[in-house]
Amino acid sequence: MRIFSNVRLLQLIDSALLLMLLSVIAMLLWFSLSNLSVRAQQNQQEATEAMQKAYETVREQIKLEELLDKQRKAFDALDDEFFRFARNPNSDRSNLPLLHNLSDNLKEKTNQLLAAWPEKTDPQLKEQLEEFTGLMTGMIDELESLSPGHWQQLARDAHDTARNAYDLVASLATVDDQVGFEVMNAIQQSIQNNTANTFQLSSQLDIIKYQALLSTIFIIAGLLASRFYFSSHFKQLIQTAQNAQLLAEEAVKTKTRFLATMSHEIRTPMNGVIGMTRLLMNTPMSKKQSEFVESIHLSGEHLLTVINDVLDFSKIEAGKLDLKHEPVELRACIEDVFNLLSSKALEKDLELAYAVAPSIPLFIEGDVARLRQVLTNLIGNAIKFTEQGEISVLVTQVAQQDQNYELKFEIRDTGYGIPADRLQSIFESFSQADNPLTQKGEGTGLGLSISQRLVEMMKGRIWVESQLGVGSHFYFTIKTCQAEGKLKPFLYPNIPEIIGKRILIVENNAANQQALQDFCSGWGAITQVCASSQEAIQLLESGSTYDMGLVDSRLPKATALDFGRYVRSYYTLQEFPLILIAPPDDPHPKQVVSELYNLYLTKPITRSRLFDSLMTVLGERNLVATQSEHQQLKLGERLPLSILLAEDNPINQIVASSILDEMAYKAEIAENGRQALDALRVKPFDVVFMDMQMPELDGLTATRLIRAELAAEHQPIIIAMTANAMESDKQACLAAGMNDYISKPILPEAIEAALERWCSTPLKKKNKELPDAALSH
Amino acid sequence: MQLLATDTLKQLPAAILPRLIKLFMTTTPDLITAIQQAAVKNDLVVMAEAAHKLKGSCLSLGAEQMAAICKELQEKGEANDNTGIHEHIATLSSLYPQTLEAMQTL
Repeated sequence: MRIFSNVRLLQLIDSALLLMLLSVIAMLLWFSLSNLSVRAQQNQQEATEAMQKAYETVREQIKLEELLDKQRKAFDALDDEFFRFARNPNSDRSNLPLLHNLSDNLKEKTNQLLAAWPEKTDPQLKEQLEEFTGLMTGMIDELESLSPGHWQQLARDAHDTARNAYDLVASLATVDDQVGFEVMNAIQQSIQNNTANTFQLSSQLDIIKYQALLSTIFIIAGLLASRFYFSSHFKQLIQTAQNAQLLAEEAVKTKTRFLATMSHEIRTPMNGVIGMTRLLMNTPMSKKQSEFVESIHLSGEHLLTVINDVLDFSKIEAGKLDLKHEPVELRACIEDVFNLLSSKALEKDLELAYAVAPSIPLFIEGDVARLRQVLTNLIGNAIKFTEQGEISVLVTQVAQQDQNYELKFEIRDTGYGIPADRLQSIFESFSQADNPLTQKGEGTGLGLSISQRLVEMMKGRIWVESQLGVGSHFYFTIKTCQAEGKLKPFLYPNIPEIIGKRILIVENNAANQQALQDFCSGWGAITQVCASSQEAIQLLESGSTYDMGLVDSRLPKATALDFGRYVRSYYTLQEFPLILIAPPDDPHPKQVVSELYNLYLTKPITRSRLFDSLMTVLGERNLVATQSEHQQLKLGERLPLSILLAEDNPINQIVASSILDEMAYKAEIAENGRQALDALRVKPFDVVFMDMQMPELDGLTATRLIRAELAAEHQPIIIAMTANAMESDKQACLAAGMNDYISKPILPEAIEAALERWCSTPLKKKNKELPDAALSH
Repeated sequence: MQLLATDTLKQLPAAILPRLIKLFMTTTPDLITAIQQAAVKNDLVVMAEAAHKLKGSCLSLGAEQMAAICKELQEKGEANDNTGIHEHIATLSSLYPQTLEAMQTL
């Protein structure tokens, strides 16, 4: 910022300088040239005046000369006539009129000459001329009065007068010459003036030229200097900026590296701290001490999630997080998140439901782990901030062009809601920190921030709408495209077994209702939806019949069992199978449910579970279903078995049951040999996976008891699962009456192979082969 | 032998991994404590049982080194041989955080 303003300042100074110099030049030129032009105008005027004057003078002189000439001629004519008159003895008065005429002529010419008399000439000359003319004209009058004898004398006088007048005129000519000279002088003066002015002008122009040259040189020099100064300065500035940028980049990198390394380095000892704290918790301590240790443990776990979040966040910030582009099965992704969070939702008795618009393809392109992370975060938050009600996820399509989709995810909860003043900042890093609602020690405040960045990386945006006391709706969009993925059996549309089946859905939760309807109709079923059992009973009373009923266990007024009783009063389990959709901790007594309903479907509803349930119920109904078409199906779909898993280690329970789940088997779990035996007493199982060492009753003993106690037709296939990988152990298993033996870690292939080996041929026959060994013990 | 055989974990459905790791995190310290306490009391049969149980968890999650030590402890317990069991337990305790870390970074 400082550098920027400095550059601006320099630019301003530079421009101002340039502007100043240019204006100085313009001013100088303007004044010099306007002065010059005034001068030139003056000169021009003076020259014109001089020429005009010279012209006037010349014209006057020419006129004067003409008049002088005429006057002299008139004088000469009169003088000659006088002379002739005087000399001629025959002269008489009859000649006088001619003389009169000539005299008048002379008078006229003289008057003309006098009128045009040059002002500057000697006034005496003028007087003399007047005098002589008077004398000459007077002589005519004298002549008349004189006798002829005196005429000669008079003629001589006249001649003298004429001569004098002639001289006078001659002198007049000099006057004339003088005037000419004056004119010449005037012209010369004018020329000289002109020359001087021109010289002055040219010298002034020269001065201007030099001034202009000088100013230009000055400007060029100034500009060059300023350019040099600024360019060197700019270079310096740019250098500074680049250095600053490099430093900043380096700092960001260092920060990120530091965060990543630190997070990693902290995690290892943190695990140690948490682990050791747990160890400590198992040692004898006072109540106070255990409280402290519990607190340490909770804080440690919290710290670990914070570190994980920070690591994620710093990865994103550093641009080190690359999204994968792989086929994502959107619905399964949501189901996974539900599975992960269902225990938390269960603690608060919250409903989890989702619905994906049917127009959205099964597989979209994206990064499943990151999408799951965003969903886990938003749904996890929803669960965290909701005390009762439901969390639903709706996915709709905002826009579609060919294979490209823009999807909108909506996560609704019925929690406290978010105050309006926090809505703006909720996606900012660590924004949860100052929220009193999150002071319970959960969350880092980075979750939403991470989600926002992930969503932005998926070319979408995230926002929230909330109403205090009503709940919050978090939305986010992503841009994606259709992808091709490997279809799981239940992902195929139009399943032959399901096509055309009429399914009655009794479910009051709108999202679940939508999901059930979408799934069932996707497989080709004809669905009828009711929001309450009364509505369903009305439909049945009106004569509608259905192949199957899906009933929510938490119908309004808790009427799920009533509805079951109503149905059973008309139909058997086989005629109209019912599936109860219930949370794992369903309050209804199991005994009653099993009389009314064919099957439990555990919430949250997922396609795979729903599919399994439908197929199980339909399989029970249509035992003749063709098996050959099921080759591509999972083992559990072409070889349905009831499986009991006897295992005390919770990890191994999950591992084994999820492997079986993947094969589409639902395993019931017994915690030890005793429970396994009890379960087998209640109902027969096809297969028992038996752990060797279990509390209360170990695997070998339990097997012996089973083999000894149960009727031959109820004997299960028993497969040992143990970590003791020695041949003697295997022998012990077989000796105890087990059919087979698989070693831990349990691999899907091993389970599949064992099941195929022992169960693919007609079951009962197999069962009858084995008990000899068992019975002998 | 690997600290954590990732192949084993990859065999498992990805969706349940976080839950499994969390379970491993919550159950293992109890088991280690049980082993320790039994060892201190020199109740080697109980120690063998606890070691066996932990071995099962470790094998399922590919924690091979921990599983190997558990196996050793189990065998020693069953053979009523208490030589070196405390060293084994110490190694086991120190391996646990590393193994958990490896699982979490997976």
